[in-house]
Amino acid sequence: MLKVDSLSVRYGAVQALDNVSLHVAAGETVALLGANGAGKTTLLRTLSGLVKPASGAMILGDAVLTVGAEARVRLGLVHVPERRRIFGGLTVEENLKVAASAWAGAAADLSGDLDKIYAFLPRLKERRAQLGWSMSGGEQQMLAIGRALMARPKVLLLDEPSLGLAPRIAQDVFDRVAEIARQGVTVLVVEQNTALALKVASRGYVLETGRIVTDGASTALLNDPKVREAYLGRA
Amino acid sequence: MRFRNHAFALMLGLLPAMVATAGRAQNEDEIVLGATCAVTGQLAATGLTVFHALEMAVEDVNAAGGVNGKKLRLVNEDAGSSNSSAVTAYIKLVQQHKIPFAFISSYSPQIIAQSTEIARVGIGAMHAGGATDIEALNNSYLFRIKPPDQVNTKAVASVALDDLKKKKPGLIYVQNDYGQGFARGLEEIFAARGIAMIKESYGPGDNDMSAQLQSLVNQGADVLLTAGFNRDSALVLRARKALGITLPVVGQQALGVSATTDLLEADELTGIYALVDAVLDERKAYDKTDFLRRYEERYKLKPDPSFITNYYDGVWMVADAIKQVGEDPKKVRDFIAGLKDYNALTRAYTTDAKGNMTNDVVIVRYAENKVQIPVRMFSALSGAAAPGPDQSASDDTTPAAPTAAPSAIKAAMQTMFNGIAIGCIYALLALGFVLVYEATGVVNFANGQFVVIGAFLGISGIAALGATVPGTMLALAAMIGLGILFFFVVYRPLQTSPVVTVIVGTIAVGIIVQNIGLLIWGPLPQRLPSPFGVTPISVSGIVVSAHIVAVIAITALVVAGLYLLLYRTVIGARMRAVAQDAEAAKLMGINVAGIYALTWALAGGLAGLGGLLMGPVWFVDASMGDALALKSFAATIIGGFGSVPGAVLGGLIVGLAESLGAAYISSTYKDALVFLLMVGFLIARPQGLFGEARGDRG
Amino acid sequence: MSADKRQLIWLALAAALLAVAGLTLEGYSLRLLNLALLNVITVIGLNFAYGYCGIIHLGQAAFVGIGAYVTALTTVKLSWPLWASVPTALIASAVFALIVSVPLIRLKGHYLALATVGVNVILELVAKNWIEVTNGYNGVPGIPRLTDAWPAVPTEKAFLPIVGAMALVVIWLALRLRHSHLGRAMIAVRDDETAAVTVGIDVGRIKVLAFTLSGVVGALSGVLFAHYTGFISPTDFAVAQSILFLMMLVVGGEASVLGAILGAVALTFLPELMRDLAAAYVSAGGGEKDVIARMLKDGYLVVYGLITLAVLMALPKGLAGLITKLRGARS
Repeated sequence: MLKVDSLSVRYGAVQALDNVSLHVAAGETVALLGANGAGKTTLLRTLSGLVKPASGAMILGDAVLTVGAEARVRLGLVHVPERRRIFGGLTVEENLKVAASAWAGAAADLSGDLDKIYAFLPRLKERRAQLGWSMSGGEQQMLAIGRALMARPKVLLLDEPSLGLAPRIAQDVFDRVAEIARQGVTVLVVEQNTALALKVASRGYVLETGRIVTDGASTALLNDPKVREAYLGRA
Repeated sequence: MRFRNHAFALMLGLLPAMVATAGRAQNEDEIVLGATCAVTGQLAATGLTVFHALEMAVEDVNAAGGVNGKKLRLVNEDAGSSNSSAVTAYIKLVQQHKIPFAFISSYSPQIIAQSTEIARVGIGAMHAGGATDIEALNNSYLFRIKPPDQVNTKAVASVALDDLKKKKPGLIYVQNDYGQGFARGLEEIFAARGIAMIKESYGPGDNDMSAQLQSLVNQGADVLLTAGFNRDSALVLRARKALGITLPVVGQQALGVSATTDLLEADELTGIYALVDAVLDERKAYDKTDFLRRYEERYKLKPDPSFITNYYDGVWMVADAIKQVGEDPKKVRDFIAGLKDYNALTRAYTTDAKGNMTNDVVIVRYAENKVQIPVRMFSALSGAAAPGPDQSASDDTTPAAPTAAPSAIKAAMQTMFNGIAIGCIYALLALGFVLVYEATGVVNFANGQFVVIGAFLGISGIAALGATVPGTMLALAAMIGLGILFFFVVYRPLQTSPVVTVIVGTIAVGIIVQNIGLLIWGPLPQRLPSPFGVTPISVSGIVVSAHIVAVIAITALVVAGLYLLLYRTVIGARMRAVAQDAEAAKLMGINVAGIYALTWALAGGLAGLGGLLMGPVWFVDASMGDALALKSFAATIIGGFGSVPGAVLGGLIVGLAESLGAAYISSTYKDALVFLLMVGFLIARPQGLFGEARGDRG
Repeated sequence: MSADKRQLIWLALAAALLAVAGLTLEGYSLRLLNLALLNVITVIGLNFAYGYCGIIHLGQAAFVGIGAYVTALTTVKLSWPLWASVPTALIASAVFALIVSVPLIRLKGHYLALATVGVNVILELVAKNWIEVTNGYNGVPGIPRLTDAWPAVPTEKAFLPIVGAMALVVIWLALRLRHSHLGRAMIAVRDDETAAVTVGIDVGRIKVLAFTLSGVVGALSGVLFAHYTGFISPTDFAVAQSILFLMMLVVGGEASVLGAILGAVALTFLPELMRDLAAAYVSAGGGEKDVIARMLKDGYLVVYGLITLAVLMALPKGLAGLITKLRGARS
């Protein structure tokens, strides 16, 4: 479903990604692990079109991705950014509504989709008229996910959904992610919390200073010493 | 390395200097007459009209056979809009051409600046600057071709005291060199007659002088004296009519010229006294040249008799001088200095010791339909009122009953109403700022100029389509298009640049837009027709006109409409989302570029609407943009940059401050107060009244 | 050869070039050169605040005005000698800049720009309306001129060595500052304020210093201007002038003494160049009244704006950046 082929990204003189290749099959959930600064966020931002690669290709379905960010959303590729970035000055419901821009005209009736999201994330329904900035971290994360769902994603990119959340709430979030995956959405989740990520994912990649150093089935990665090294650095 | 660059830079700079050195080769069989008229910038309004007069005069002289068998050639160096540029123009003129005589700027500070060079070079120069300070220079090469301001002030005082027999003159004047000089002069004259003059002033860019007029009435004035320029004098007369003030009015030349009277209705002028430099008697000799008609035909401008004919005469006089004494500048200068009862085309000139070539002015009064009736000639030399054909007319200018001063409450309400009306225009501008800033992070410094262009487009649109409403709609559509154009041509390329680059970029666009406007529509003020009526009517003591009510109503509708758009529609939510986090908006599939274009289109439309609403009542000219922009900046800062209700409130506050400040604090310093308020907010509470304290983008 | 010595040699060369110009050029070109040099001084001052320190300053003309008015009023109305009036003018400007900068430096971006505009406008209004002191719009004539000391020499020729010497001194000082500790601190503040704080730079103090320096150098230009033209009026120091100064700096290339020089010189000569082009167009057979001729002659302000815009879009480092590129980045 999603394929990355020898992708390289540079920020000025810094090589953020170096010949990265990975793939996610349709319906799969794959984890992308690595320490801070490894390049995980860069990879997602390049996939979603915010960053231009220096070389390499990205393929969604059978189409090579060359269009801009908004167009990729229309193709079904939705990126939930790091730190949520919900629209603080908009209400919950407005946050959800604007997320349908990719497939809905200005006058479209969104009640069907909204009902589905509210059913899936009932806390959002409670707070539908509340302004985004007034919600807690966990609620914002739910909103971010709800927003992404409104965009009718085929492939969902999640950037550190557990960041800043208490363990129980983070678990809650990942339960939702698992549910979404069960509905058939392809998921690529970036996480520092390896345990959480590898529980929902079937496979994983480990990124270190812009390169894939390891990949494999979740169970294997959980016990792989290289994974630990990637986080803590070589002794 | 870098130091090599510095030397290189200095060389780069010297190159053009060396190029500019080359003098122009002079033809042996022509005589060059030099001129420094301002043809660009704010002073172009008078500069251009003078230049045209000189042009036509030179052609007429050549058509009549030239001078001593040679043709005259007019060379003009643009005096520009600053004193410095006027001096530069003069230096360039005399360096590159051998001229026997020059016709210089008619703007007093420029003349004072040029004076030293003129004396040094020793070539006679004719000008129409009225300030008394010019005499103080004691420059024997300066010749004033129109009556000095002293004569005008004496004439005005004479009408008030001798013709109308009034005791308490109230002067309303414009805050610039001209107005200030006039005020000073008048005060002295009245003081010498034991009369205290009351005065109020207004800024050149002001729109509403009601407060000042009302104040004069409240202080017991029994005659109104005015000293200003075109647009502002028209606004004074309009306000006077609107307030129902029946006091007689005596004004100076600004009230005598079509640039002012074209902006007014006939009944706003009836009974008003004005000064003109010459009454063009159809029976006089110059009619043979049919000068004024030809001027209007050729330049599509109604010539201002005060300036045009004087400069026209001046050229003929200089031509005659050269014919009689040759081309030596000193001899020409002496000839001009010695003129006595020289019969030129419009009058007889006698040069006095101070270089004034004429010391008379004609007092006129407006009858119905803007017809000027000469009352009498006022001569500073004789001083006393010489009886004229229309002396009897002065009796019926005294009103039957004195104007009753309205109650303090009514006056306050009128002032507030006026303040709200002009505040609406500021609010529309401020809204444009806020929308664009919110969505794109850009402060569009060109917004003020857009408003002016909107009004100009309205005039052209109405002229082109022949009907007011369709013309206005066309102009509005064009402004929306301009906004979108701005998005593509300016915003897009500068999107990723640092904040100051964008600021300087929008400033540059403002300069471009303003000067294109000047080139296309000219420097004179214009009045826009309105689909609503502009005639003032009194509603329970408050004077309103249908148009002003429309201004307030339309602004309210626009604000409501914007509110609905932003807070009740999905597109509005998308706009706000983009404003808050453009990147996240992209990730949600929102067409961010489309939202930007929409925002700029809206901003263009708001500015255009502002201009179309402003034009009919407050008139418009190319130099207004800066003052408008400054006031709306203040409005946006006070209201809060990030806030739509803030913009509206800020606009209303600034409008009210202007009106109330003029009425109750100080008409001279009211603008300073507004800006102090702005700076105060910036220091103490930059988010304004309504904005949220947010980390600055920048 | 040390950098300092090289610096002095190039400055000496520049001085020689100016001398040649002074001896060979005619009054009008010299006048433009004099005005350009005055602008060079003003814009180098502005560069401290904006170029080095990142303070968006749309009020430099106000400081030029303070310098001009203080020296003009003290010499004309109080008959002070120059050695008293000039330092007073510079000190007055410094004090005013200090007072104004303290609240202003907390602002950023366009808020700061608007605040400086506000200051400029307020000063303008005071100069125009406080008639008893400033003589209002009619300005202050009869200011003693520096060139009166050599009455036999034409004004423009006599002034060139004065303004040329001052310009060279200011350029030299600016270059020294650029490579001093203070200069580096200023640039650090401009590049990344947060980082500057972490390395112990007192950002507030640096900004106040930069702004004050800018004001004093601007005042110096104003003093020279007043004693050159002999007549000043409020319109000489309006916001429009401040905008022009910033445009000169941006077009020339900010954060660079070279840029300040290039921008000031180029934009001072531009209207003249355009008029020359118009004249050339006409003598080459073009119609005097057709669009091109009109644009070149009367539309120079439009071209000003277009050039500025073009530089902003295509040459972010301005003309100085272009030169550096053309001569190969060897620095």
